[in-house]
Amino acid sequence: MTAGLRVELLRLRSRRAVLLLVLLGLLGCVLLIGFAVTDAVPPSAAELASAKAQVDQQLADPEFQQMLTECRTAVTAGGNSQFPADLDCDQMLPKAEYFVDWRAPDFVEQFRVLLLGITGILTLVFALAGVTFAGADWSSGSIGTQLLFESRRGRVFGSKLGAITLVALVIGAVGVLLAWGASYWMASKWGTTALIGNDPVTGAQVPLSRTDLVGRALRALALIGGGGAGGFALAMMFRSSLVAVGLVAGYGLVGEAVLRSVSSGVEPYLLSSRVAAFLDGQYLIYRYPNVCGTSGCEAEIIRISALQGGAYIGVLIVVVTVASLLLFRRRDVA
Amino acid sequence: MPEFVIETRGLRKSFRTRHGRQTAVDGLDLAVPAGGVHGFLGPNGSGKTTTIRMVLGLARADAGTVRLFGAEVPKSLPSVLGRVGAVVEQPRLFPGITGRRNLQVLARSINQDDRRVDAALAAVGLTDRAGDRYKAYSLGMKQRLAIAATLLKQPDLLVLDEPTNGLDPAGIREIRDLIRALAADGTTVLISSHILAEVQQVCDSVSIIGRGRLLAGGSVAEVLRSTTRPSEVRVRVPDPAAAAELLQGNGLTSRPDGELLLVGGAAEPAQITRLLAERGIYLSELTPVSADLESVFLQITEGEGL
Ligand SMILES: Nc1ncnc2c1ncn2[C@@H]1O[C@H](COP(=O)(O)OP(=O)(O)O)[C@@H](O)[C@H]1O
Ligand SMILES: [Mg+2]
Repeated sequence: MTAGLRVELLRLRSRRAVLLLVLLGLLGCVLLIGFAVTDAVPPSAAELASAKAQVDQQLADPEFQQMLTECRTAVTAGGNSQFPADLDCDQMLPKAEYFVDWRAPDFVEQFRVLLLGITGILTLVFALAGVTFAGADWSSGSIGTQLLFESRRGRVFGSKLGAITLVALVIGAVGVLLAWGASYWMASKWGTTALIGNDPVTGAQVPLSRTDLVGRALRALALIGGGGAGGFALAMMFRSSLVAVGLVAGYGLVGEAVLRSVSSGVEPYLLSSRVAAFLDGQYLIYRYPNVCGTSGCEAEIIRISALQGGAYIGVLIVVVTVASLLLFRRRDVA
Repeated sequence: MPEFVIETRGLRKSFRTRHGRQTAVDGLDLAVPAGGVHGFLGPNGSGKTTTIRMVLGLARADAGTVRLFGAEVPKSLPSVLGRVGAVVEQPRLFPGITGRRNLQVLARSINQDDRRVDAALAAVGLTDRAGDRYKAYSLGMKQRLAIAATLLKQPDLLVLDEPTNGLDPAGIREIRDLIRALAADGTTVLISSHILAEVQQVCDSVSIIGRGRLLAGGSVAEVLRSTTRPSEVRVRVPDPAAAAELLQGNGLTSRPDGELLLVGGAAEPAQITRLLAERGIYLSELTPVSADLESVFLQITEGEGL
């Protein structure tokens, strides 16, 4: 098995399309990090000076000064309809940071966003790499030649699947580490590395542990590996890159939209919802009732957990892979 | 070593087509003896490729058995696969990588290193072009590279399915020389073809199939002898018309062949000489026409309505 794996790794490495895809994927990751860093760099002295100037300009504005005076007078006098008694009029004072487009980078949030982007890129890249790896075997007919050198089809399939998944995991790990390293570097240099997240419903701050972040990283890795395996299994099943890509693109671009339009209740079962839940830890679906009560419209929140997302994706990939393997073992090869 | 390297019994395979099921191989009993070059002959669509695919485990038989070096296919195929090299229908390798790289990957899968690759490339005369991408190769070069791939295994049996299809005469000769050299080294070669004249020169024995069934088989000499058409004699006479009339009057057949006359039905050439001489017709030339596989083949397949 390991000998077969080594052969398939060599075969994979020999394929230009695969090399090109991986290169493009890594380039995409680096670009993404580049954008994030550009955003995280603190404002320059010139930008700060310009912001300061804008503050001064607003302070000097007679209309603003008049409103400020009105506020203070009203609050001291016990408040009125426009300025209630508990208002802190100083909050209306302009601050320099309002005039610079910059937020101090926060490690947890940076990592979350970067990881989502990098996982998206690499999952797509390895799904395509898996598709072309299998597809080229069929389009060139080379699979027939290969079977004359190793006729045990289960092994051939397993070695190929193992090779593409392994490469996806290794490159995926590089991507995840890049996201982690870049986020940490930015946060420690210009922002905060505190492990604090936000509750998506209430917005309240919640403490996180390192394990939460490692879990997030491992799930991203699993998705990238799963992308490679799924792409390979699909193309192996249909014996064509084009059909495999068409099927996935068709589902993504049209299929989900059609399903959504058929029934709104279908959203929790869509692949995109499950992937989002798996990657982000959870996915919330807000469902509003058709008739609102007297107390206003309270949305019902459906929560899909990472586990539910992962189980769904896992079952899907396993089913496709097993079906693909069984077909490969049974069907004639030209 | 078993007597036959390939042995099929009652081999059967049909395909689903738009017009229902079509039988490609119909109870084929094939026996390929060890050693020498064996021709697997039949018209296009007679089931040669389908048979070969079943023998190599690429396709599943509907019924019947296949033995390769005595091992049951597909069950025990892995135990003998290392002894068989094959090119089925057309060379199938990766277009985007070099000839050498194509061979290297295949060599690794049977635990062989680059020495084997270099030797195989040299054997087919592709050493100089090994660094070119496969898709840039001519058909003949692709065919030779595919044969080089089979040589990586140093096979005891080489199966070549219509290896000269689409090749020019020079390419055909190269392949034929290669086959001869391999056979001389002790490799059993099975070569399928629908063009008999082409393989007759290299084959020691043949199997002729039509519509998925075995029509004739044995050594080339045996198959030629078994032909029912009597051998003909080519004669040159001053007056072919008169000679033809005379011979036909004596129960022989004759038909013009250019200026010459093809005479059949004679027990021996002396009978023709005597008949003509008695009437004062003296022949200046007499050559026995030996039957070739082509005519045997045409005859058999005509009889089968193929
Ligand atoms: N995969 C297939 N699907 C349908 N019909 C096939 C297939 N392969 C072969 N056939 C049919 O089986 C018959 C035998 O084909 P083949 O074995 O390729 O003949 P040969 O190699 O002697 O030319 C032909 O009629 C061909 O059309
Ligand atoms: Mg054929």
